[in-house]
Amino acid sequence: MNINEIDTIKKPIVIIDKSLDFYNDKVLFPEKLAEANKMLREVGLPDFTKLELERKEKEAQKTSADKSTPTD
Amino acid sequence: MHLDKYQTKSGEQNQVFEFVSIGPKGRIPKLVQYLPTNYKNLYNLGFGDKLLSGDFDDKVISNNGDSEKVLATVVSTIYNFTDKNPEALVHIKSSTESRTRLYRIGITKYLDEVRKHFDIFGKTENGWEDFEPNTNYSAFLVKRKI
Repeated sequence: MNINEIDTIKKPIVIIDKSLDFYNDKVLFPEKLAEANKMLREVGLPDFTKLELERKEKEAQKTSADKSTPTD
Repeated sequence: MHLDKYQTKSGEQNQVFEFVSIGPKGRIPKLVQYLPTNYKNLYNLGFGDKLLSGDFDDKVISNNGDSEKVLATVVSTIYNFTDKNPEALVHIKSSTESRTRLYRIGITKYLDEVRKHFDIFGKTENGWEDFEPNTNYSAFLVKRKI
């Protein structure tokens, strides 16, 4: 891969700096992590299967509506 | 879609990213950290300013005139993190309502592009739902499409 093949639009070239690994086992934003764990304990995760079905239904309805719209 | 972003540094584990915001308030180092939660494969995105004291502050409002560039840079770290952890779910919740609103606006603005690469969910009072524009969410979950 040469430099032109790197997707710099979404992924800028990241410089590896090993000194940042110093933070890997440190919780830099503890309140945020605690909040996330609390919320996930109370609310849980999304029902991915159900949401996928709902999304497909919406897309089908949109496609159907687009086809039935006059284009003149 | 082309968004201006800051050059980013990362540790070898792609778990911590650092960049420097540059604007009227000067050079402000920013840090993004992905930390595992109590749920398998679910990580929390932490983001804030690195202070001169060496501490981190995720509540500070920098007002450095580059919020869109900063947001685009944070998003780019999600791409990098999920490149290395494609199964990961990333939980995103801002410390302030105004920043959460900024996240929602940013996602909405580039929703078609975002959906090519990620499934994205928003949290309402009733639980999680597929992200819809113009809906107020208190948190977001994103998962890379494989």
